[in-house]
Amino acid sequence: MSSTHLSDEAVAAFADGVLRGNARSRAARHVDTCVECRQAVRAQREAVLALRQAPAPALPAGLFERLRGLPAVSPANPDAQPAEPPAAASGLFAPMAAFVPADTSRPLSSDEADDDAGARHGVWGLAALFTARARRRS
Amino acid sequence: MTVETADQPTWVPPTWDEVVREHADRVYRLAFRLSGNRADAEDLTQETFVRVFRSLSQYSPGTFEGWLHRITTNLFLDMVRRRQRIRFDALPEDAADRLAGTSAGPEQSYDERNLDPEVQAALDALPPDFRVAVVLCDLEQLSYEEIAATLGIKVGTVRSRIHRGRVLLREALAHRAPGVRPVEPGVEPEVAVAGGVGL
Repeated sequence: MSSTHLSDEAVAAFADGVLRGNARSRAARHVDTCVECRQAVRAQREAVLALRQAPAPALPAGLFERLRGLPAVSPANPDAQPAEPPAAASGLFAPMAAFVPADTSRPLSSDEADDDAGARHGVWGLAALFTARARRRS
Repeated sequence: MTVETADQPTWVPPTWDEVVREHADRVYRLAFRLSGNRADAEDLTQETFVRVFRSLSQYSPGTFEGWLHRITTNLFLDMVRRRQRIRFDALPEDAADRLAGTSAGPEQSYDERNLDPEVQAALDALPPDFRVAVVLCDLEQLSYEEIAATLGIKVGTVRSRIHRGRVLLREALAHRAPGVRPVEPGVEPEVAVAGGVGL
């Protein structure tokens, strides 16, 4: 019905061009005649454009190096007995996989994160660990 | 026709170096857009890669980016919840180490000058759930379905959060003309949403 305003969800979907078939043509007909919905769609698109025009933050070089060096400073799982010393990690998957327990890669839920060793230290604490180790190594 | 004798002849696991080179930029960008500052973005990025590193053995081709989005996003939401619970907690014992390791250098002031602080501030002002939905949709260009799967919510909820988040963003940026240009009547700009194709 072109006389019924678009729902919020339809406004977003129409603005993104993801409505198809009848839903799309109904929405298009309505937007043609309804100033309010046309403005709503426009506001959605303007918000998207503003976001995309903002420059993306660049990865700090120091962080990139710390990530690359991660296999050398981090056991695959601090709670597990490593099958090989972490220093043996060569950057290939196979040696890492040797000491990764199977259940650590389930889709991460927020609850699961809390009983993880990293979460006990907090994100900050763990980052500090790597930062400190990275600095000692250099 | 070539017949491979091995069972899984096609996929060769990337090296850790390749994983970092290919995904670090994206993870950091997402972490920065969600957290709104460099220190948290660095920590979230590191923690994401620590988890990836620990769980690589279970990685199956084709899911890597979704996996990274999910880890980063959940870590961010965890961080937000933790801080809401403990607003006035003291700095951790190792704060000095941490600050020394991520001290502000020329790089940081460069970032701050070039990141469009108004857009980031508008993002920061969004409720975290809305911010996540908008960032995943409009900057990471995930489809509604992918966002729903990442966050474990319904597609309708995703649409609704995206809509509301954009409305708030648009209002926050309404005072400034440059970044948000009015659209000519009758001319609808086609905002390409890569993730939306094929819905």
